[in-house]
Amino acid sequence: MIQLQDVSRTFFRGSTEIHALRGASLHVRAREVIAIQGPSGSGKTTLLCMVGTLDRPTSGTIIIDGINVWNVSDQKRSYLRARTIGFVFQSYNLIPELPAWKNVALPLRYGGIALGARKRRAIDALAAVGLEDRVHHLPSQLSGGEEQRVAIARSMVIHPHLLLADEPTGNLDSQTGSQIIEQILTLSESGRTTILVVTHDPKVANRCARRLQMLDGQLHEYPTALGSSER
Amino acid sequence: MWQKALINRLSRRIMMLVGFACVAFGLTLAIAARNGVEHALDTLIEPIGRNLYRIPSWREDGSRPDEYREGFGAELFQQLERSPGIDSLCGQTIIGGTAFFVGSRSSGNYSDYQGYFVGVSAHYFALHDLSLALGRYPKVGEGAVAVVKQELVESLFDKEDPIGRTICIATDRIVEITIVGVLAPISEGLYAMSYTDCDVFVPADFVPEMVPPNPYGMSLSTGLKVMWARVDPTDPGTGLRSILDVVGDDVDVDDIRAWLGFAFTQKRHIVLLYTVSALALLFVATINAGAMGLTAIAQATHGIGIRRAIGARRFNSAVRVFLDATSWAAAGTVIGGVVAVGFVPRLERLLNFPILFNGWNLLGFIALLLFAAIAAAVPAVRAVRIPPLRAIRLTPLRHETHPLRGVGWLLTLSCIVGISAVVSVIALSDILIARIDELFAGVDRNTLVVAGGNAIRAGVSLPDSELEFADLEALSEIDGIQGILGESLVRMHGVLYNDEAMLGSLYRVHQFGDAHWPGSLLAGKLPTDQELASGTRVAVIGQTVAERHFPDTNPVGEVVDISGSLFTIIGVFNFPKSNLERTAGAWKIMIPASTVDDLNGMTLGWIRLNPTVNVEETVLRIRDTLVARHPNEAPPQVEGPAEEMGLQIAAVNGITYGLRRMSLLTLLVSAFGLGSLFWSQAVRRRRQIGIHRTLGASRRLVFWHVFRRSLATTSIAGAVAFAFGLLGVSIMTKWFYAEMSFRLTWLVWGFGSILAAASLGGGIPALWAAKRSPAETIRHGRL
Repeated sequence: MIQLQDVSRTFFRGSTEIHALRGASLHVRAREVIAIQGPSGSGKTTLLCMVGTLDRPTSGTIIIDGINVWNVSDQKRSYLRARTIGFVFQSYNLIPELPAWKNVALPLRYGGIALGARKRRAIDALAAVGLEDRVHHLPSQLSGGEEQRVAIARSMVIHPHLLLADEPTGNLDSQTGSQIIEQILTLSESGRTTILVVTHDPKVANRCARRLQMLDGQLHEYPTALGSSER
Repeated sequence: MWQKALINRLSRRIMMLVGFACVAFGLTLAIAARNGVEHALDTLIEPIGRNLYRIPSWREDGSRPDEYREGFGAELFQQLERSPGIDSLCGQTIIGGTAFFVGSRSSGNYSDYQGYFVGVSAHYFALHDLSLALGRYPKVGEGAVAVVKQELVESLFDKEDPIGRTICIATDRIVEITIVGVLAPISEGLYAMSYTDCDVFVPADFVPEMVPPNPYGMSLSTGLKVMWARVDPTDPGTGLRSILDVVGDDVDVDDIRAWLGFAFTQKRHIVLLYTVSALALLFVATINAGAMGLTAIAQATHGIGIRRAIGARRFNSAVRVFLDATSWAAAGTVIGGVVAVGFVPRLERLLNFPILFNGWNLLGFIALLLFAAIAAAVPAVRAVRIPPLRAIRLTPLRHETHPLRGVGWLLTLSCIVGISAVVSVIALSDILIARIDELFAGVDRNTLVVAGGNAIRAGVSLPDSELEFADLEALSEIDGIQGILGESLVRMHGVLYNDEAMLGSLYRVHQFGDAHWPGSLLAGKLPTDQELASGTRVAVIGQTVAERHFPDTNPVGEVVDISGSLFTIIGVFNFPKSNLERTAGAWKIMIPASTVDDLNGMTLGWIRLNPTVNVEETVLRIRDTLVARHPNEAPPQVEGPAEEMGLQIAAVNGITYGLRRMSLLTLLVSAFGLGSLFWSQAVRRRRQIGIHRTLGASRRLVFWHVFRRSLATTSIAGAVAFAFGLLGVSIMTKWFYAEMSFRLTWLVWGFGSILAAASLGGGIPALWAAKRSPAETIRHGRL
């Protein structure tokens, strides 16, 4: 379903080159659930951005569902994100001036769904994460856990092929974090969704079928020795 | 990278500098032009004093009270002369125009001079500061004596002593008058009025004996049409009361300054327009300077919070912001002022005004600095009110402490000013151009026609002069002349079409410089430079020739026979007629001068002036050049819109070439302000943009999302501005005695201004927002 071939990403900070990814390769099959671990600054979030078509690699290719995503127009790439890729971030990333249901409905709007349908689907998605009584609340009126559940509802509402979660429990207490992880993993069990989770939490990683380690911009299968089972 | 950082750091400051430089430029010149007009008026009034009152025998609307149908009588004159507060009084009859001559008309051996005469009372010359070069003043009751102007003497007597000589005035009989004095040249200058500009001054009581032609249908047998009273300068109120007591308050009494001021009205209006434009620019620039300062603070709140947290005092933050903004605005003001001073000679030529600097300029400069300080003070005060804790935590600021509160409205207001300035200036110049076009039947307003001299018309005893193409070539070298289309009559007949003679006059034409064909092309094309130079046998025919000989066919492509040579008609042209030639433009058949050798008719040049030149000076240069080439011949004749309506055309050119630029500058500065606001908003919302992009918003959608806000703002501003602009134009058209009729092009300019402001204001921030990578923006700053 997802293929990363020799993907590198270099940033420039002033005149200093920063190699966030150094020839990372990865093959992910449909409905796989993968945890990506690694120290801060190792390139985990950059990898997720590459897979989510949010950032262009300096070199290498990224193929999703058979499409080389950087060979198509921005319009098509945006549509791909709106229809098939769900995102959950550590800092929730909700739009502060929009109520919960409108936040959830945003990807539907960009996917070309009519207003009536997207409101109905957004409310259903919020109900699925237990927030049916928070539909019209602004993000500032919600707790951290509720905000993250709104973010999950936003990613679920499009029935994504691929869910990318970047430290989804990082800002939450352990109990709320566990609930959130349950809700994310439910997506894989109940449907067709492939999940990539970036996490520091071993409990979360242990719930995933496959674990990858990110070190100095390169991917390694966990817990095998570095380099021997790089994919 | 450092260049980018430098641009980011300096862009707002440079915009502030440029904005204030533009304002200083506009305001400096507007004030200086106003000074110039006032100075010209003062120069005219000073010699005769400010306590001179004009007392006409008619009302303000031009009608006459019944008791003054014959003018003011001698009894009334004497009563006023004896009234308290009146230092001196004089009067004049109506001015009449006629021919003056010396010699014998019946024998044909005479010289004549077309001019004006007036009858004047005692003290007239003293009250109007008219001094003599020769002889003495005439006395009341002296009979047929006159003081004359120098031009008349030079024309009729050349260098002979005119005192004691007799001139004849031709009316229905011949009246002989003896010259007793010659006026010294009147130092009126370029801006003077011609109210004393008569050629022959006779005693007022002699006028009834002259029985001249009466252009106004009024009797000249009795009465003074205008009296002039100098009131006691120490008690002008008593003098004015005496005037009103004696003549009544039904007539249009005014002081000399007010009366002459009327002649300066159009100049004043143009200066006023420039001043209003400069003030509009000042308003826009101040708003934008303030807005830019505020957007800079809105973006720097985090830094302000950190500085405050580590010990910076509120005062320090305020002073830092204040000095930063003020210094850039002050630098802009100085630069604008210096550029304006350098621009003075060009503007003097353009506006036909003297441009003078005085204390008002200094006041304007101080006012600008004050505005700059106000523009800087608002951000400085708002900067200190930002709560440090919220700023450090990047928590959105509450409305009451947000630096950008109210900025959107102010910028919309500045946009209204910018767009209405464009619409009104465009509309006003359209209206004035239409008025001039209406008067000159489609001939470009910057056109002059030049022809050889005619002795009778010039009132000289010299042979007529004929121009040649070489003269036109010499004229084309004069500064300010873009080009000349020369035409020369070949013959009035002899062009054949299908072996039948065509009705039409054959002209040969040639172009000098970047010539312009006056009139309009109705079909086909005009000959190219190459065709004109190389002797290509092509012809352009006038409209009537085309209608008469080709009623049902298109003449373009048809062949005519001229002296055995075949010429192809390539165009039909609506050529205007000049009063200097006999053939109407519609009857002309024009061929390249290089195709024929024979010429025997008069040559005429259609001169296209550069719109930025001083028309009067250029006309003088043309005359001087031709007089030098044709000495001892009648001086050349020059006519055309540019010569006849110099003041109106200076007004139009002033508006078209100066005010249009200033209004576009106003629009540009207001668009800068909008750009600054939208840029700031886009930068502050970059993380939100990242979220939208992550969730599937395309670049196009992000662009449109940002741009439409700019478009909405400018559209609302544009609608209001359009209404304001038209209201302004409806007032201003009255200043120039024109009629306002709506044109669609104004709407186009209105929409164009809206789009331009929206594109400059919102387009660049929208492009910036659309180009952000979602990965970069989603990690950035607060929501």
